[in-house]
Amino acid sequence: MLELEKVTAAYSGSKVLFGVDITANKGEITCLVGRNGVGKSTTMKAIMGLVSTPSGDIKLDGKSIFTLPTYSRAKAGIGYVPQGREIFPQLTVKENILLGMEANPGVKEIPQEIFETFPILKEFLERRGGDLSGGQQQQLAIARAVVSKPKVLILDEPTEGIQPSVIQEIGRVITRLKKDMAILMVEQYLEFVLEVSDRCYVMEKGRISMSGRTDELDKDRLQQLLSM
Amino acid sequence: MDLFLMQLFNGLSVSSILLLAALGLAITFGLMGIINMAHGEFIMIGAYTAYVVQNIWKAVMPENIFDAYFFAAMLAAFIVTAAVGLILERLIIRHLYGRAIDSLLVTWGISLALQQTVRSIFGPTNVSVSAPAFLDKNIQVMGMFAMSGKRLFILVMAAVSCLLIAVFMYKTKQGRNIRAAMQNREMAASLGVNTAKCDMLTFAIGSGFAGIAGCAITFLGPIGPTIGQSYIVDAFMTVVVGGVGRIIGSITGAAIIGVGGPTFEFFTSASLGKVMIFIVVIIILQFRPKGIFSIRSRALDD
Repeated sequence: MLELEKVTAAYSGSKVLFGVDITANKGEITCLVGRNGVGKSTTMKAIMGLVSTPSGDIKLDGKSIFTLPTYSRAKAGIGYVPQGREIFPQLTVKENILLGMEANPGVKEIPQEIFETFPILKEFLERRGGDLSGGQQQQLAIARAVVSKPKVLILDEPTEGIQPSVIQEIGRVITRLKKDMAILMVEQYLEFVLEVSDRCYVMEKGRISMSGRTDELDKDRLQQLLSM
Repeated sequence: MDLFLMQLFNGLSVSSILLLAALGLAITFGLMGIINMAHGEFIMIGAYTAYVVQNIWKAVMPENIFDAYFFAAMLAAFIVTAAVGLILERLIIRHLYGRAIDSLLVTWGISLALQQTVRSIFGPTNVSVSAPAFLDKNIQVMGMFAMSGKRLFILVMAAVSCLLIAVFMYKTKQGRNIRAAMQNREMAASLGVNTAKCDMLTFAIGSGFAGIAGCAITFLGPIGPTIGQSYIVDAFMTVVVGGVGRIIGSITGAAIIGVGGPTFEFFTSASLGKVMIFIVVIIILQFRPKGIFSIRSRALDD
């Protein structure tokens, strides 16, 4: 379980988040939605410790990880799929996956399940990450984040720039993964959010303006909040 | 013709030393954004380590195994310079990542301090290291063209060092982490790679190979506290021409600077040769501003 309590974040002095509270439970897919530039990706970066967070607290299974450096947070059990995927382009697919195992010394070999989930990766194991298509890179990014068997998986716009068939595939994969871990996802694609998520947080100008179970949310209001 | 071949061969051994020096520099300068003016002093420290090891060996070991000192010296040179590099990185350099101009000034200061320290300990006069006897032989190839054993050995040393670095970077887990951290620091950290430890390790290894270069220099002539200065500019040129992030880049750069210099000098004069090699470098950079071989990399911003 991942809990954010009154987290603030700032880029070189100017505040972007003003006290964000989010809880992501194991067994659920929690979505964070909102318009461009309201601080969704910053929230993700705050969880990973990639932006400065002057105040608040972040807890993983009740233990604070707020003051830990980024790599320790990964080791504590957070898997991160960033916006734009951030595959290492010069490294092979295999090396990318092996790097994902850095966070958990208990995982010695690449778990074979990952190739059942993403068969394409097995085929391209020796290719360079940069040579893969966008959808393939997204699958690799998810694989890389989950091989370490994290307690929480956070995904930043996993459907961005990806063809519909792969989006469906990603939806199936994360729905399957949620029984083992808490999933927190930033997403703009509303249909996808309504389809896969259990809980929803809406963000406006660095604050959470609306939250609740996805099936109980006022869809029209949600639509209105997200439309330009 | 013989004389020219001779020049070419001598140029190759200079290339090898440049290559050893540039391997470390390519990482610290090219990928970590540090202009390390003290890199030349790592070469100097390596050379003095060889000198010290030789003297200790002479005093302690029986005479008939004197020649073996050189292998101990190489190992010691690597370890000592790597340790100096490690200490510098922890104390000073790590605060300078992403601040190229500041790092230039600071490391220049470090370079002066290191020179003076060595001058205080060993005196301002040059000292010399005698090469093992089995390297004193020359291999006669044709006419006046003979390959000196020492220079041949330097070539082998450089080749072995390249191979070791390649194996370390491409076949080990630690090397993989370093490459990942060089390509995308934030992402590497997000996967659990301790990037600060990677920086430390890369810097230490880069320094260590400068130490080995220093060890090789002791073959070519006497060494003094300022010996690093005569290599640092050429080493930087090697990195700039060759491009960063790939060993093949450093090899190419070293070959151009190391062989090109003596070749031009052979056909013109010493000073004009230097000018011409600079012109070649400028022309290359006009067409390939990032060096002949380059990979996309992100500077370290934090």
